[in-house]
Amino acid sequence: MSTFTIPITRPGARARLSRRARLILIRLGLVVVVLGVWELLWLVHAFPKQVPDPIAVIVAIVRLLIAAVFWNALGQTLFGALIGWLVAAAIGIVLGVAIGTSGFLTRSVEVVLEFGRSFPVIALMPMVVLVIGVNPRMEVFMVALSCCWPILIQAIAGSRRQDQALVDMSRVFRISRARRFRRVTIPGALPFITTGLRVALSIALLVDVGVGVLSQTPGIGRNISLSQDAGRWDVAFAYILLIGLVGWGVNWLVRLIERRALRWARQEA
Amino acid sequence: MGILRKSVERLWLVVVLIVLWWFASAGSTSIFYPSLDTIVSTLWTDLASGLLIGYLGFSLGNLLAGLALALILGIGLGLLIGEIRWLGEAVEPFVDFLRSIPQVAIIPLIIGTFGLDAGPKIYSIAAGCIFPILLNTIDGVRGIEPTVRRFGKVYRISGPRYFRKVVLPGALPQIMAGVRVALPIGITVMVVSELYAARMGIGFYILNSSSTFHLTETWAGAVLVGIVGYLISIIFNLIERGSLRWYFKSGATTK
Amino acid sequence: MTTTAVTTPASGPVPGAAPELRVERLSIRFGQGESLNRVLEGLELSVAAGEFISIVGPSGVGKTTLLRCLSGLVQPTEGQVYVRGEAIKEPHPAVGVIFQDYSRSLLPWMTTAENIAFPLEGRFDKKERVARAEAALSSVGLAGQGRKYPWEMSGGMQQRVAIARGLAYEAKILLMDEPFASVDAQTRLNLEDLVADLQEKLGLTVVLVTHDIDEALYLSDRVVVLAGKPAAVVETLDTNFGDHRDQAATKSDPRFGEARTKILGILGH
Repeated sequence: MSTFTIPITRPGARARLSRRARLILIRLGLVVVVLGVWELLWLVHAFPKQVPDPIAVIVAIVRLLIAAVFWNALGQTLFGALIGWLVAAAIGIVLGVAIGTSGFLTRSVEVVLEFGRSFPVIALMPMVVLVIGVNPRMEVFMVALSCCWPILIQAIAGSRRQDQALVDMSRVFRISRARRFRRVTIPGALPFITTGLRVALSIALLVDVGVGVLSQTPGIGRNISLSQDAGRWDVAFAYILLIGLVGWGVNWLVRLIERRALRWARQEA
Repeated sequence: MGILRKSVERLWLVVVLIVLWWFASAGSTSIFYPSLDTIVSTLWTDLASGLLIGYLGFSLGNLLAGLALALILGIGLGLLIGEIRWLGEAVEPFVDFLRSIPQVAIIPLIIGTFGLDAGPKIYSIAAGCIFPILLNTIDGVRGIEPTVRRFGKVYRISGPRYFRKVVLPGALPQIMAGVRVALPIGITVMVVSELYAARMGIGFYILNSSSTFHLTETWAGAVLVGIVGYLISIIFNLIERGSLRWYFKSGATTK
Repeated sequence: MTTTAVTTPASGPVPGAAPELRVERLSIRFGQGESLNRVLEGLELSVAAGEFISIVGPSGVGKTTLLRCLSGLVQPTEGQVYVRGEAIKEPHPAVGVIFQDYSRSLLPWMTTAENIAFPLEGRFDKKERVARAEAALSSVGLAGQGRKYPWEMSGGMQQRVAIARGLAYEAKILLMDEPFASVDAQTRLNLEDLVADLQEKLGLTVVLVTHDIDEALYLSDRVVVLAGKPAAVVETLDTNFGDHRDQAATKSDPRFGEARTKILGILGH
């Protein structure tokens, strides 16, 4: 008995490699083109004087990365954002889950939530600075007030969501309400809550920098504004790009943790 | 009867909070926490005198212009990036990165760059709004059912008509979701851009009054901003529901 | 009803004993006036202990509604359901339900063993629960699969887990709502035999709602045909092809074919 195999080629490893390589090349190409155009335009003074030389920005980035002043400021900003976020998380999750258990309460807070999430909290800055002063408390207050809304909204949505099948199952098997809340409602709400927490963390970082720019509380925001006042736009740009990188990195990290911790959530419809 | 009950359910908390605020602050002599009474009357006075209306007009005008700019650029670019595969793949990480740059930090940059009048504020607002719109447009375009696209190919619909009649409506639900996210950002940037360096507008009103210790006006300005922001989101809800009637009826949901 | 001269088989209904399940003048109506929807009207049904009955009928006739009444999840507009002689207002502890959509009734954040043990929480300590879960898994042929998550298993396996859950719960009456509708044909046959086997071994009373007539005839002692609007029992068939069922033999028995033809005729084919 002879067997024969049909040679089936996968879109070959070689073809795949060149596709990936092409992608990377295109991206590098884009970066080079953008930087090149920027540099050229700068050289011919096409921009107003505040836009810096891209080369100077790159140099500034490198310099900042080895400067204590950057890392200190980063630490302060991260810390402020984190504390504010934790406060918002504690209040948002507890309140949200509680509200979500009652349809009546959920409907009652709808208007307030809609109002809160579209309110530009940073617009309150001048007032808040006057009342609380320029100090860490104000920073935490602003951050918490800004990022509590997504957490609250998501926590309510998560605890509100009751899969009919799970409700039926809990009733048939006569599972007590307390147990159902602990073992069914809360775990079911977790994917929603973590989404809210992740979004809130990005907002917390943004708001902390913003607060720093507008009120000079120590941190990245303050450094950005100081650089601008000193006319060092290259440094300001560098700070902005770096904090963007940090924000992206934090987001990526949180997503990773989320995916690990909630492995089962991806399987749900 | 059902409508009455629903309205009461949705509004009782708001009414209660306002009443509580009113009585808690009545007769207050503190400059930091003026009574709701005086806040409202100040608001009314400044609105009636036309001062705030003018400021609102300025601010909202900027917001609208900035939004329009963000929509045109965001949707335009988004359609291209979404449709053209190699472009989309290449650009994705950059766009993702740019989204995490704090918009508030960009504002002083842009304003300092261009000066003090209406010009830069529109650009700041547009810059803040463009990313959610861009990203959602890309998602929306990518998310169009492949069968719908194939239909377009089979019937040889191509070019601008293809974009207008097939791609754009198909991506619209996701685009709307993006606009919804962009609105509060736009409002925030609108106000903050005036906090920093301006001669008129609602943000200016807030900052100016606070630095001259007329805190009643500051509170009034904040209240006005809140109300305006809320009204804008309500109006947006109506627009969304109107333009996406087919979508909601079909029972689909955006992610 | 009729008494048989032949000795009663080891499994199957015990004639003369009180009915395990009884439905009296059951009516379900939704809405009022013009929009009155009469789903069931004055339905009477009796199931003896150890009996396996199937309820078949056209789609949307009200089979699921009837089952939900039997399970205590829904209160009838009129009439009463009696489980073991007790009028029920909520799910009875002797009743277990196997839902059609197994993937939504199993908790994705729990392993299969935890899912099975969940209804036992508060009634037994951990050791006992683990032991019972293991035993249940074995009886459905999933020994040793306790640590897997539902979403790591095929549809057929998930449905077995759902059945195991009912078994561990020591349900004496199993209500099944189109349990095999969402699995492939091959798996369906295996599951059918599993259920038949378990029913015989444990002396369970089973009410199976299905649109698959072959399945109904194959598994049951009695087939109840529901049709019309409002739905009523239009026919009851005692299956007369012996107690030992075999997929191949029974289904090619001429009496099986006659019964099938008869039911199809009633349902208008």
